Amino acid sequence: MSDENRREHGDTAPLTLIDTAAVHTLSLGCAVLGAGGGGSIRNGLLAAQQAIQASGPVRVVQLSDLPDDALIMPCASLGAPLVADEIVGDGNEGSRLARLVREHTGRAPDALMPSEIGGINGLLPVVWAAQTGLPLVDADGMGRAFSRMVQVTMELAGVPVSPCIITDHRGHSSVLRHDENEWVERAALAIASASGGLVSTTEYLMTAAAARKATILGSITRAFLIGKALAQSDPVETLLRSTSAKRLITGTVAEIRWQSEPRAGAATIDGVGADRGRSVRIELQDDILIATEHGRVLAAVPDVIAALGTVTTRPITAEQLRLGQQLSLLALSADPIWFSEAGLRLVGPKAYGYDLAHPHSLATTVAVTPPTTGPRAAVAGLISPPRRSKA
Amino acid sequence: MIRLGIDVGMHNVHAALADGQSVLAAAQVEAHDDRMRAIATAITDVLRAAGSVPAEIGAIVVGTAFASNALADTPDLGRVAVVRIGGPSTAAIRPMAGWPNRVAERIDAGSVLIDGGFDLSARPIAPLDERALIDFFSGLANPTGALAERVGVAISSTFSEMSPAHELRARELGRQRLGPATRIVTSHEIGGVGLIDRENATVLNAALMDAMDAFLMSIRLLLEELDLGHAVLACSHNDGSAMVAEYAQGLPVFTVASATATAARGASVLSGRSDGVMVHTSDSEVEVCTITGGSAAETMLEASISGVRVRHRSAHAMRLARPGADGAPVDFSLRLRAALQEALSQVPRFETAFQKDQPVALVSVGEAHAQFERLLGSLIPGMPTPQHPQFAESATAIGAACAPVHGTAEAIVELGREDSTKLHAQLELRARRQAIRAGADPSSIRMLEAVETPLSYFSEPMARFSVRAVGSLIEAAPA
Repeated sequence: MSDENRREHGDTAPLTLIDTAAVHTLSLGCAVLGAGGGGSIRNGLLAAQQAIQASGPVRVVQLSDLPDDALIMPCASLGAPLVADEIVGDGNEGSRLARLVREHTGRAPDALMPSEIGGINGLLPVVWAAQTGLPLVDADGMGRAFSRMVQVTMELAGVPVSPCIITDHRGHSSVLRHDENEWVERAALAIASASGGLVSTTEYLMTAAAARKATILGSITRAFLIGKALAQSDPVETLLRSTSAKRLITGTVAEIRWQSEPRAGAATIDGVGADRGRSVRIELQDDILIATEHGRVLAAVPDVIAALGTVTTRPITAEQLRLGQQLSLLALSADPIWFSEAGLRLVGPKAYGYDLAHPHSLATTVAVTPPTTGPRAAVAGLISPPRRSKA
Repeated sequence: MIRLGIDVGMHNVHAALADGQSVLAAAQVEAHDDRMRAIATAITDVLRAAGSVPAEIGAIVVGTAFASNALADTPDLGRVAVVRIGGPSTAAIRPMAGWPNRVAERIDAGSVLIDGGFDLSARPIAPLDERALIDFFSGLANPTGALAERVGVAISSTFSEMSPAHELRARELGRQRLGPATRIVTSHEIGGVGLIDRENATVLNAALMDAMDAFLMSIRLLLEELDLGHAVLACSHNDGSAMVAEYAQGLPVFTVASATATAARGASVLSGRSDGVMVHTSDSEVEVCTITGGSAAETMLEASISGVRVRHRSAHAMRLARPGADGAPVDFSLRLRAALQEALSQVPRFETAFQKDQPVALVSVGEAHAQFERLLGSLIPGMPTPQHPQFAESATAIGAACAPVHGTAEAIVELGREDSTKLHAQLELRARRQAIRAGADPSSIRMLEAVETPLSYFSEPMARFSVRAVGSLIEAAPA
């Protein structure tokens, strides 16, 4: 566990069991760690509650408590949130993935792990853990939500991505064995598209010994504690007190602009109350990526930048931002593993098309310009519905 | 012609008369046990106050809490069999998951997951399993229990917005097995984003149809009694518009949350301002809502109808529970202030308009508006002075009397399509047709601006495209 996470956990013991009440708290934390993206958590919560009611609570274990050779199965869904809102899945995706892992590696997994703790992907592994009866490892590969399959700490640690095992909502399965990670991702996205826009996958299969060095530890407990803070009457103050979160500004959305190619936007938050006179600009794609004030970078991806509604006290996604909304912008520092050169190359501002160094490596003022290439320029075809004939 | 607006609330009935956008009179009557009697008294009172006679009334628009009452008093709810087309791809969340037990137990007449449904590109996920459908319907037609209870059917398929074909075929099979009189609701008629939320609304709609019928029948009898049988009868829609009773009859779920948007229209009429903010107060809560162009600002965000999660077009209101008798939550004023700031800054061109002292209204309406006079006045320095116009407590009835008719059509489209003009024209035609079905006078219909909402996580830029037609409600010829 990193120092940062240890400080956040304070005296609180790690989460050991996820029941229907705990998963509700967890879902709020997953929404915050979605950093403005990560899809809607609501269906993930309903599915997790249904699975826990049917199969009992999910055990959460620390990697340090598992034998060195225990097989860890990272898992997540891959596709578009709009599709996940309609085709909500059959709930057995995890069981099928576990069976396929055994068939193709000769070993059954001993525990599941969320590849991505942010957004709905923080909750689907709870569904699958309940369903398989396997425990969930208190760790993940992102510490938040990112847009791409390869934006995980396992990639940095050199864990092989193959075999990448894919199942869709109708039980079809595919196994990808590619040496090049970009190719695996491209092929997986093509399969997602062929399956109607959504699949469930496992990749970066590894032992517990490898996972201890290749993942962000304590992610589930962290999300749970953030969720607990959100349930308090003053969530912003509670988050500032109990986590590493910093408040960037409290104010009004004064301006929003979106461009479509590549899809990116920017919004301006004008301060109210104690922040009157200040103005913070945020860069938006699927997530909230960068916050600047007069050209000074306040926080940037991979830091988590989350918007919390002042009236609703709930996280607001980039897509839901509207002119006039009252909100607080919070930043939670990313896990230090991301601040290496290779880490920032994978998930830093430049990976999203912004010619900007992360403030960890540069503390001068900069002008942020909208990207001309996006992260998906490299992975075009996430969903490409067939074009109708253009009569 | 004069229009009569009626607001049937939990505790009081309000009636108002308006000639175009000018309010003639309003009346308020306590509801007690006999709601119909209270409605009759309110109508008689308001006619007397305005010096009008029934023959002058061309149309009557009723906003009612009957659906909320039915949900609170579950025996009024019908039982519903739930058909979901999209199994097994959607089995992770069963029908009616997360509903309050009391409501689910009353409504649930069994459910089935059927193979079929569509994906985002309107490709079938699987062929429709007609055999399984027929088996399910046959089970409903010949229940094993002693007495067959009348059961409605709610049919939802994945992406029915992209293709309703499986829902339509399932409805046809249902009619064949269960008889033409069976109430069958399909989710594409209800619309909305997300299978679970749309299915929830579809099931609620089916469960409320009997209560809606009973309510409309009582109202019609009452209107005959009051010599108002000639007037066009309409109901308030969740978006604050009016829809004729013949159209609304099959769509009760569109009436369950109409009060907020209708009150916003009333606030606009009463203040004479088309842009502003409404503060709507009742015994239990305060609603804050932006008014733009005379209508409530809208949202498609998550909402709850008596604990059932839905996502449908309704007023974008911020709701704050009023501080209870045992002491106010400390943050009530703070949250109310934030809500007002949010709503005010969502008024189009608010900054310039307000600086130039142009008309941006802060209108306080609702039955408890007087209790908030001091708090609202002191909340934000430099805010517009809150108005408490005459008849403010009857704003919802006034909004009903002045409501236009809407027709809306939506589609998910790729941006930059070469045939977008053609698609736009098709959507406009659909919206226009829907407005006519909802009771718009065809000669009055005009198109409002199209709204484009970008969708994330697509390599092809995609957007939800929404087009609206607006017209005025048809009226009966003078008697």
